[in-house]
Amino acid sequence: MSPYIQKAARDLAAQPGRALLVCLAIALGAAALTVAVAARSVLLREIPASFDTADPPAAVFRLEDVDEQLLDRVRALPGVVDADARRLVRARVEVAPADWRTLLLFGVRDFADLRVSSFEKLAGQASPARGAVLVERSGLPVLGVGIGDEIAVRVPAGASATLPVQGIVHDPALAPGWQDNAAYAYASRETLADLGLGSHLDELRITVNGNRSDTAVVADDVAGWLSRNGYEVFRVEIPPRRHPHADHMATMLLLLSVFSGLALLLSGALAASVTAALLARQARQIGIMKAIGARSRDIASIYLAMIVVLALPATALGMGAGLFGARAFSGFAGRQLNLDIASYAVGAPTLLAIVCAGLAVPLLAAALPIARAVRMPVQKALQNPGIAVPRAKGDVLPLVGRLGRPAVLAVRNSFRRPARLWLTLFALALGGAALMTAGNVHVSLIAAVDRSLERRGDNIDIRLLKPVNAAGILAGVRTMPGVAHAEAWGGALVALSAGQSPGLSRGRYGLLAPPPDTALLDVPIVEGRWPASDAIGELVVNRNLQAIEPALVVGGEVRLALGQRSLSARVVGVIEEVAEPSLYTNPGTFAALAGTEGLAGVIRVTTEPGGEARLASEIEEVIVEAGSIPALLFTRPALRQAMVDHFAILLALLSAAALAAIVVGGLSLAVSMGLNVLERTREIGVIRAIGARPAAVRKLILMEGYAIACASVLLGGFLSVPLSAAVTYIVGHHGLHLTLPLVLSATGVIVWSVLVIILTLIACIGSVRRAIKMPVCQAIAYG
Amino acid sequence: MSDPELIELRDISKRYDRPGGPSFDALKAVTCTISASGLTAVVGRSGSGKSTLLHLIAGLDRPSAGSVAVSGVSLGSLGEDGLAKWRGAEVGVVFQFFQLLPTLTVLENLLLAMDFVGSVPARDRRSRALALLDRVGVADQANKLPGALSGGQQQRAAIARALANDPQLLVADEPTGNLDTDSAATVTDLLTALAGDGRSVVVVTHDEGFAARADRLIRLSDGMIVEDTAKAMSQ
Repeated sequence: MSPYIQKAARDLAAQPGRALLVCLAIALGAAALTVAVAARSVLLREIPASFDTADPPAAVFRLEDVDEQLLDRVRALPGVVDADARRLVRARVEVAPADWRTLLLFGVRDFADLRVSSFEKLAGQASPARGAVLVERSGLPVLGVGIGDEIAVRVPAGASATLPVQGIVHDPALAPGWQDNAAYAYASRETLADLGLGSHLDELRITVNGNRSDTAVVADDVAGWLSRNGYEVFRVEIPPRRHPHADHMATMLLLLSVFSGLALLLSGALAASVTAALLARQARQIGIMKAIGARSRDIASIYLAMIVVLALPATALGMGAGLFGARAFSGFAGRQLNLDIASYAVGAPTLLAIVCAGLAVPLLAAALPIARAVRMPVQKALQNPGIAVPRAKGDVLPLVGRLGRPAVLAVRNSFRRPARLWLTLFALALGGAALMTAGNVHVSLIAAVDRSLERRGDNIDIRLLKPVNAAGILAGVRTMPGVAHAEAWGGALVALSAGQSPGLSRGRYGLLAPPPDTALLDVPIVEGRWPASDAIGELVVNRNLQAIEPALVVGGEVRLALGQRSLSARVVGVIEEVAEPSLYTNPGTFAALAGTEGLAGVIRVTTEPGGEARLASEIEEVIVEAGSIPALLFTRPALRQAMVDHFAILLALLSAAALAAIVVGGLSLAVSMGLNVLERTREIGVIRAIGARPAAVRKLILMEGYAIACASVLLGGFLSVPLSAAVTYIVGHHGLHLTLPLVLSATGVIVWSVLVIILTLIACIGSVRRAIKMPVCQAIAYG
Repeated sequence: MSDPELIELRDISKRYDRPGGPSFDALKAVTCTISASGLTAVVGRSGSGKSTLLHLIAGLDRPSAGSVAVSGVSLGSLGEDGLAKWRGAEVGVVFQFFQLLPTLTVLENLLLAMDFVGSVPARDRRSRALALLDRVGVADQANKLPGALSGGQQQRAAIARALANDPQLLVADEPTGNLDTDSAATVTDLLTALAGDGRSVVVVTHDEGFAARADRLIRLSDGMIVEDTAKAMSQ
């Protein structure tokens, strides 16, 4: 074996404690980096892959009925890969007495031959018997049922039925039901017919080759062919080919990239700190080697070899732990999105990149201290005591002097190794900043939700499946005890076409038409203006809709379609709100589109506090009596919870990152304190020799730790401001399409202060024990 | 009338275990007493057990066998806390490499020693520290960090620190071993003078000149006392 390697290995063996600390630091950095990079890699691959397993439709045509003969003919059309028939019935399901929730009931052509919008059987039967249903797994928490149980369903015509659950399936193209307070069920044509809904399947769903613009061409061709062959096409949709929560995913992946960078920085800081300490103890040996003829490159080779010897197993260890962490996080993210992660494998290039970073970071970190050691004159190196001898007292705070000699000693000792102090402070402060950022972003999100709900003012929001007479429904609702205020808005799901393809709908979105004097909407315009009260065809869109339909800019023209009627409109304003993609207009425009005045598609109610749930249930009965059912019904607490649940994955990611940063920061402190105490073994021996009791030594080390901890709270507080601003911006603009307020929460500072006290205590325990345990004479002889 | 005995060592042995090798007996059943005043020099070759003996006397280490009693106190009966308290109050230690705390000024080094023990009232500590520094001739260096002082000045400051709590026993391990001739002479004079003040000073040294000035000379070889000579009192 090369003498270089031999020396490196034996030096390390002679200082197993330090070698272990260096390994731990490098392993931690590698683990943090691996979690972030590997999780990003897995999710980037698996999210679209899992979504694609559902064979999501490229285009959906709304027809009268789709039979097998039509499907065969469509499958044969150019550009069409496959076709299937489906029907979506918006129904209600009773999850507790008088507690109804949204149920999306899908009519399925053939459970044994799912060609588009397929789903996977998880348990029970693959095909439900007539009069039974399968349910999608993400709605199970809402339904609270299992196989063999029954669900009570209310369908648009107002009929109710009890349907047994015969199986559980997974449909990765659906947003998690629990997040939307909704459930999904699948039934056969015959079951739909038994419910009084008729046996027809009115959606023709096709898959095509190519991208979205190819899809538009194929969809146009198919729509034309259908019309030429006598099929009346009521609507054509080209759904966005992405998961319903794609924005959240993109934000999460972006944040993972940010945290990868932070992990790299932390890893570097930690590695630099410990390798510098390792080399400091070698200064005399470097002097000796130089004295006997070693050249700079010989010495550099020895110490680089030493770092490689440490970094190789440490990186392997860190990667192993990191891959385990990445697997856990990816699995969690998948569950949050109702996606299954088919493979947690990380590609060879990614692994190679992590290995390279894992080795390069400590090598780069060690380069500076190695260069410094190599340049040191022989005489100076031979006399190097291995620990910095201060040239100035360096009292940072005059106040420290008043705390007594031990405090002075502790604080001055903290500044003994300025570079290590800064690296430790940086790592610890970054942990604190990450925690405070997680707290700040959480508060900011909640504040945005609450502000959004406050601006609406209602306690109950109901979207009707079928419009009803506004005056009639209002008369019924306003007289209910506990109702403070009620409004009936025009509203419906409208198809829209932006661009030069008249009649081609890109998607269906909620159009809301509040009365001009509404007391239940106060959303500030961020671009343009609100529609004039008497102007027909003016629209306001929210940013969420703009994210899906970028053509909808102020001044953009769009054609709205509702049933058989359509209307040209122009976007005049843009708003930001925590809501689903929506358009707003005035009642006149809605009436022109609907073809009749006085219809209500939305009911918003303000109640006396606490009575929302009971009143919602009573209002639902009034709606049913009026001949419709709610397509969506949210009380304010339920809506708030649903909104917050949508952020759960982002908050979990922030919390995980904060936790990781805290662990790394805490270990960084432990490593730093361990090295500080190790280097000052002799000094501690002297202090004990002149009468310091174990308690005094303990206090001295803890004070030094707390000096660093206090500084980390201050620095972390400062760092958290730009970090919070950046993450708030990313989450707001990329994830939610709104400007989130930058909130600096005092809670984060308090929590971090408490945590850092505990962390310091834990971090210093080992050092304190070691300092006290070593016999005084041995401590004095140390060096 | 002879001085009362301050230190009593009875059958003390110290064995060090060496990883991968045979254990090493630094001291072998040593028995002796040291009086409450005067200068005692401990001499011998490297590895003869001098420093080990000094460490045991100062309570910096514990014997593998036997007992050490100082002023009637059996050090073996004291726990770590008690030993630290006793050491701070009763023993002053001077090291070859001075061992002043580098982040504290010379004055603060003395004050810290008094802080730990607490026997000197807080209001008197500063004046006492300055008086001690004046006595050893480095009062003008009081507010400097040790790194700014010469070796001789540092050692004198270290002696002042050893005296901070007015101990009856002063132990010094090669106090002149790292000093130039002039500084070594100054330190030797200082320690000799302290021994003459009714204090017991035990010095481990290779300096034959220093040893020759001692009231008593103990020579160690292979962990055993091979010579124990008391100088005839001149008065």
